Amino acid sequence: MFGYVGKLLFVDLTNRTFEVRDLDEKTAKDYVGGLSLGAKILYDEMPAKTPVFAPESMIGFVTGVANGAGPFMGGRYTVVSKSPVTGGFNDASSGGTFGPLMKRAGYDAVFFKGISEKPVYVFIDDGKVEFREATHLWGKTTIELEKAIKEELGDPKVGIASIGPGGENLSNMAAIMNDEHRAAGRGGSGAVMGSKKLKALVVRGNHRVQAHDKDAVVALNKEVAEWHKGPVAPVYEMFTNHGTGGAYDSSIINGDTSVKNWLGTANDLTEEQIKKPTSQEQDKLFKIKKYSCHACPVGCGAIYSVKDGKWPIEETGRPEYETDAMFGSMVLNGDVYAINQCNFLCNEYGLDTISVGATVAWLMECYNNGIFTKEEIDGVDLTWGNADAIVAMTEKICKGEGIGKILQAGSVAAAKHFNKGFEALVHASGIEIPQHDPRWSPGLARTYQYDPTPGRHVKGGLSIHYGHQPPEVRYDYTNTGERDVNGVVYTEALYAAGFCTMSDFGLPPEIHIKFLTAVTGFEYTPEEARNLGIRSYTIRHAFNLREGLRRKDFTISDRIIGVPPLKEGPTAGVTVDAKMIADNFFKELGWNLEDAVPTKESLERVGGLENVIKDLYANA
Amino acid sequence: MLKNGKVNTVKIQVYFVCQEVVGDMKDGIYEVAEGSTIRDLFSVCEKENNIFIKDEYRRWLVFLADGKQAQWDTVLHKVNTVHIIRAAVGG
Ligand code: SF4
Repeated sequence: MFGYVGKLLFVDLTNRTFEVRDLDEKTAKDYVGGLSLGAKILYDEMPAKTPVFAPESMIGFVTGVANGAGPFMGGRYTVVSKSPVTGGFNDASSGGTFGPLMKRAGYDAVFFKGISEKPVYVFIDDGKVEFREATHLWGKTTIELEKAIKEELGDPKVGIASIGPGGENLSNMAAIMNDEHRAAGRGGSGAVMGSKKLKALVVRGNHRVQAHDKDAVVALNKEVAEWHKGPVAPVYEMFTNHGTGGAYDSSIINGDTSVKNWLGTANDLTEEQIKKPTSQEQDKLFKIKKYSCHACPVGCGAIYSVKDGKWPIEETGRPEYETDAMFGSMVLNGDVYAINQCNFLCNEYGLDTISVGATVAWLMECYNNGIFTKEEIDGVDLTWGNADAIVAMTEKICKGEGIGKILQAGSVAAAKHFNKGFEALVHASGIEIPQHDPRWSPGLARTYQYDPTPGRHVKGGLSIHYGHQPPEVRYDYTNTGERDVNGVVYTEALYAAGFCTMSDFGLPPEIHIKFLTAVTGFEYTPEEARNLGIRSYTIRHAFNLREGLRRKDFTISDRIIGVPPLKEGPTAGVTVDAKMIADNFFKELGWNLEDAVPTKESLERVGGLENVIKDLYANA
Repeated sequence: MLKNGKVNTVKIQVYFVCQEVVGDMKDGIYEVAEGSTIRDLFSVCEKENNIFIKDEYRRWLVFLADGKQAQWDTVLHKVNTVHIIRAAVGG
């Protein structure tokens, strides 16, 4: 098969055995790779209702078919597992070089089950699988670990996906890190790795995948480059020069970014607090070089060095927009040294900056409202905007010290533990919400609440950019279904193929399906392309259904949908009709509105979901 | 328009939060005829800064008029401040 290695690796960590299977062509065409192929394998291989940290629980590293096959911005891999946070399906993707390197090592996907008796890392060396002791590496932070493994193997170029102490401690916020600064961050996949005593997956090799039509890939890359120079040039210029944090100030002003744990607006911040954390300003202070993922001409990353201030850092990745906002506007902080330190700590300890920042913000609101006393939070004065306190609490969470041990489980689990602070929680099905506001872009309400991987901003649908529609369009909730489903369809295919979310910005949607065909040789009619996206969404959702989750189990906090509405700012008075948007979406898919179970007909129409039909309708 | 043929003007404070689209256009007070739209105001900004934005790049701009969402054709009635913002969001 073109684009694929054609091999899947299944590793049992309990017995230290493995099995290599072929990837068949039908599965490849139907599910492509990434989150979609990952969900399909998880659905087929992992028994229903397996407790997330049980030996039978699985975690998979799945490449996209574009990885290493030539397309620009096609270097992302996806981690799939059950989520310890939501209890449902989890996918988290990351860029860098790990995905392409895993294919070079000889596998399209690697799945783990079982629990190793002792800490272990698995080294795949050009197809060969080796279990290596990791007791001496347990406890190391992610950058220390990468250094140690590279030294141990005598190879600075191996690909490493690993966990830090966060994953070892089974934190619900534990990320999987690769290329030092890149994270498959959300949903707690790092904890699943930790529960298996798997410190790292290490890859290298010489296998090269071939695109079916290399000339077509080159021509499409050229077309993408033309778009980047042409109509979408200003946006890509911003990403190239300043990364995702380049839009920090504008996003606060227009009402997209959270201020004060979603209670505030730009009016709660000073001009300086809005301006200073933008990447444009931070770059002037800290940027030492640019950074790109594999085959990406945009290169939205940068390496910072913080040479002065209270928290010097030799080298660290530039904080992403999400991180800037989580440790910035969300907690009324404009101190960029503090933001960088929090980002650094989270990356080092392998924790998701979104969930950690949101948990600090939750506690901050509670503290400022007298729900927690200073003594109860280890003497840290979490007054809004106190930069020292924000760093101190983040450090406690990362290290699992004092109250940080409880907060490592996230804001929802912490509220349950203390049995208070529920009114300050902002989450979707238990996971903290990222930095895009449904009151500004209402479709996010459906995405956050009902995506099979809830609480994510990069899951398509009406999408973030819908917020730029005039109010009479975006706050008209009556006919959103078709557009919402179309957005999902496209995004699922994009990620299945391993493309970066930024690769679709302003480009015609067909371009990535053309890439897919150029790489694999699989032709997709428009109907097949649509079914590919719906199938991917459905198999992820089916995982949740099989766990017993139904529509009522997917929740979203009132605050985030404008109940009650904000009193000022660009989204003043907005209450999102989240139910209507979701109804429209499920109707468009042909699913049952009451419990969000797909009808048999809708599953048959999409095809490739025979196992789901069997599970849902065997007794019908 | 006044009876003597003169045009009544209003002064509006403009902030640009979109350097990658408008380059060096300067924050400041711009004067436009009463009843002008955002589009008219933007033309004045272009002329005064001697920077002219290609049509294809204009889709990357959105607006707030006194903190409320506005469009190219929004009439600037009793508006003091306009933010001209990039229509791009962080990742
Ligand atoms: S745009 Fe940024 S995140 Fe996306 S592939 Fe390029 S460097 Fe990686």
